[in-house]
Amino acid sequence: MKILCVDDDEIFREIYRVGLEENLPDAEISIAASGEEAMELIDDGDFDVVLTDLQMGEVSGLDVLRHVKRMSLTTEVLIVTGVPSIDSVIESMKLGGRDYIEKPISIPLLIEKLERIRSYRRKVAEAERYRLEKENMEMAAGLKIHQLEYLAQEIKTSITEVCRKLSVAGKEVSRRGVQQILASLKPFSSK
Amino acid sequence: MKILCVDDEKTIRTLYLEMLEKMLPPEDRIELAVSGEEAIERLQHEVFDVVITDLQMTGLSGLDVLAYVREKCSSCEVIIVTGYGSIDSAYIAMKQGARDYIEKPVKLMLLVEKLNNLRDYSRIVKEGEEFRLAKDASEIQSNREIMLLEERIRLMQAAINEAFTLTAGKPDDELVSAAHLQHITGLLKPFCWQEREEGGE
Repeated sequence: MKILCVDDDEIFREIYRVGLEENLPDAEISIAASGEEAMELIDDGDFDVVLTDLQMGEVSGLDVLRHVKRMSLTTEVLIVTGVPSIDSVIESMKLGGRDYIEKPISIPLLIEKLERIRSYRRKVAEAERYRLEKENMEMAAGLKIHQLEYLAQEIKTSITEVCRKLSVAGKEVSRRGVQQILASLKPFSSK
Repeated sequence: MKILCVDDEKTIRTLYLEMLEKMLPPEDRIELAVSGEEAIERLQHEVFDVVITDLQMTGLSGLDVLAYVREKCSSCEVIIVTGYGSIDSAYIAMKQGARDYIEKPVKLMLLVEKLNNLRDYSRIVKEGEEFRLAKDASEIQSNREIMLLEERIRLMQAAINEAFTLTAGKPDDELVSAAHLQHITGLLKPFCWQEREEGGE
């Protein structure tokens, strides 16, 4: 899981770095010290989760959230709030933020929240995989059915033609003649 | 979504029923339970999509309800209502399998957002499951069609082989008897286009 942590407070950046690296060994952690820096990283990187403080300098966490939602369909945002401000939390969730956590950060709780996001993303990927599998299977089966139908029609047409020739040939036909008439069915005889 | 709200305080239950329900899409339905015991009793007989339960109640706690749901109701998700600022109980609830938690006093606007999140999640899970089932169904259907076609082709090939066997031998000018010819034609005739079909395909 690729996670970008955004906070203008160095202490929190360190908490995220250490806390996440220790508890999510398979995660790839990037750090940004401002909203501006975060946006640049978001433009270049494909993050699974962006964890951003709400109150920062010029570019706020909500700006970062808006930027993420503009740039990516799949990146999830987890908002961090310092002062408990339920209104901005609700606004962030309306803007597409997946979840929020309050400072002081409890790393175990943050990990649980990240795990929820991970399981959500896994379900999204799973649904997409099933959708593709279904489409691919239907396409392959459709092609095979089409080929078999075509072959069946081809054989049927050849047999019809042979029957017509045999009936025209009537009683006065030699073995050679019958063999010549049947020759067109040769490609369809099985071994 | 069918939502079971569990709280031993009447005012909170009223809040859920009279306020929360109005804030949710019309297809959502709120049901109430006055205790963990009643919640589990209801869950034994009814399927709920979400259980919102208070953590601390007299008798069975929210964690007991959570444990029951996790064990018995695979597609149901739980939101635990925790005391204000109680990070530890929030963590414990999450650790034990709650999908989310919300602090008291419950902000309904926030709860609505959390429920929307959950709706998203259930929709995705359901969608995946539907694709998986649809794939299985259409695989069975296609395999059946393929089998029928292959069988048809196999029968035609068998008739053709038989016709070749009946005319095997050196090519010569000896006339083929009418009975023999009829035999050959008889083999192939069932696979001819019927007149009404001709030109149709």
